[in-house]
Amino acid sequence: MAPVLSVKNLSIDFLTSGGPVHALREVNLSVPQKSIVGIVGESGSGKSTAVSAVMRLLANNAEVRTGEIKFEGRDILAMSERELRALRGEEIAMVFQDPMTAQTPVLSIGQQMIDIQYRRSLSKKEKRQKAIDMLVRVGIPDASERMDQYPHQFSGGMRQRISIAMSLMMNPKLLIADEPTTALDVTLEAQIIHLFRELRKSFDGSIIVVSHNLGLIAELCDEVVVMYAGEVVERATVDDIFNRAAHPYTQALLDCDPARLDELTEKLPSITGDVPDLQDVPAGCIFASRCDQKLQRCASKRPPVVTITEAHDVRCHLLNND
Amino acid sequence: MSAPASKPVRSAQPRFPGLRQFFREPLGIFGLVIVVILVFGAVFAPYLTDYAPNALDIKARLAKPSGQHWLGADHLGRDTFTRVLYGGRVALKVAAWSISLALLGGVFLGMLAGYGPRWLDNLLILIFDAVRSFPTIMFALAIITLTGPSINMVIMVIVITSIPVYARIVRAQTMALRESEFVLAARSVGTGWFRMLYLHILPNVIGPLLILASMDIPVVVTIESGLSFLGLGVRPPTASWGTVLADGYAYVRNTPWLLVAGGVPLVLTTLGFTFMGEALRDVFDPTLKKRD
Repeated sequence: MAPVLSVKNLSIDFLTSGGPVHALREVNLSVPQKSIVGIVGESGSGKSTAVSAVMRLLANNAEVRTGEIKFEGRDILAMSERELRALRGEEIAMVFQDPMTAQTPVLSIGQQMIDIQYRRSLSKKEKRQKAIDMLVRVGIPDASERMDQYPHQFSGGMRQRISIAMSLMMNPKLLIADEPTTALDVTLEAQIIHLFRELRKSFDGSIIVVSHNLGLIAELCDEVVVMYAGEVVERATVDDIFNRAAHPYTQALLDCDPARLDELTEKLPSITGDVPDLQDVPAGCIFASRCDQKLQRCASKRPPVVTITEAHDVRCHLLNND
Repeated sequence: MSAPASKPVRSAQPRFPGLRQFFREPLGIFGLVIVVILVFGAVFAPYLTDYAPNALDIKARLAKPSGQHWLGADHLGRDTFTRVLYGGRVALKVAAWSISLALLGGVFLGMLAGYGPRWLDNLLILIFDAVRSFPTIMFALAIITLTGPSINMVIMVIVITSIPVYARIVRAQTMALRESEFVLAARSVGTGWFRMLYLHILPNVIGPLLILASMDIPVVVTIESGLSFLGLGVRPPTASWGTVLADGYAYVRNTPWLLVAGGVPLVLTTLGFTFMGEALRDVFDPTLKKRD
């Protein structure tokens, strides 16, 4: 089956007064139908930029330099504003990071959920019922009473559930969750992960989950894309990423996850060094300056994408035997 | 999941939760009472007095306050109480028209500047600043000297000089809101610009703006009275608080109650609308609502 979303060779610059920042470079991403794809990486690795580009919700100073984004074969980058509006919400929807600011504060939850359906020719009563059903589905107790309450009357976890309900309202084919649990505490995070797992059974679209939480990725995803400083460094199934990580960055990232430490340590391991300056991208491998397995050519020659198996690619010289 | 057997959380929401809040504010009630009295007096003026506002009665010339003339009579024997009531009509008419037109224009232009393209914003701001650089009274004096005194001219001048004030506030709010996550979230479900403006931006700016407008009413009333006092507002026989003041001014040594009659309504208007505006602020901002 053809993938729902395929991003090929996408490069995006942010034009700043200090010169262009090369935020994304030659990013490839493919989301198969009915699958959950995770995008992991540390802050500033371009995860959010990549998914915002898919929705064409980038900041004004962003410039797509190369590449294509195809959603069900249609070129998103070539779409007019009108076509984009028809796409957003209907076919691709997004859940944002901070649930406390993602809803209009002066309208009740019900008004907002009814309004999302403005393209449907249903009666107000039917729309209301659909909204209530959706709230029940994401686990809001007493949904029909709480419809008339305002966002500030809900807790953070509830508001993230409502955000998810809103984005699922139009039954999109692709749901993008941009760090859906980052703003929540650990117990709520577990609840939201649980909710996504529940939704997996009933929702028949695909999901992209952006996170720097490896636990969430491991719990939810089928495939994982690891990003570092604006590049995709590794792409594999969840099993391969967690058990057979090939890229030194992925390995280092896994080693730093407190949940995966086998024994008590005095000091939490970390990746030394800093993310390179994206205004002046180094010539060789993007991770070379922090890599503990680097070879001579790593600093000067950009590694090619090496295919290990059909579902496992790595951008690293270590696996390139030519 | 949260507790499955949870009871309905505050299922009985009051129909207008803000109204309750409003009535809990003693100053707000005080303000509201004054405003209601002023509006009532203006609307039902013909039923509250036996005199006509311009009826001359030379025998009652400069009469003292009495059972017959509650606030005395002026130098032409016109009943001052009647003239104050009818003056309230003029004042509130000017305030209602100019504030609503200014709000309408301000909201429209402000959202246009805040949400539209950059060049339009620059152009509108330039115009706003140019208009704001004239002091309202000076501007009014200049225009009215050219066109001759008329109430419509007063309204127009106030509207023109008030639009930039409202538009600037709306613009700043719109710009802050357009960067907010809920606007991004609304865009992510395909909301177009018109829907975005009237559903997501407008309700968020209108509350504070209405409070500001309510506090601007006394300013407008004062401008109207001031211009009428100078003979540049309503045409002389017509009653206005400004003309009542002007008529009383000449006889201030003998009949000070004429000045009081013209001045007290102005003071009460300012107090009433200001107190009401303060209390309204709590009503319009749902996040400021106190917990029950």
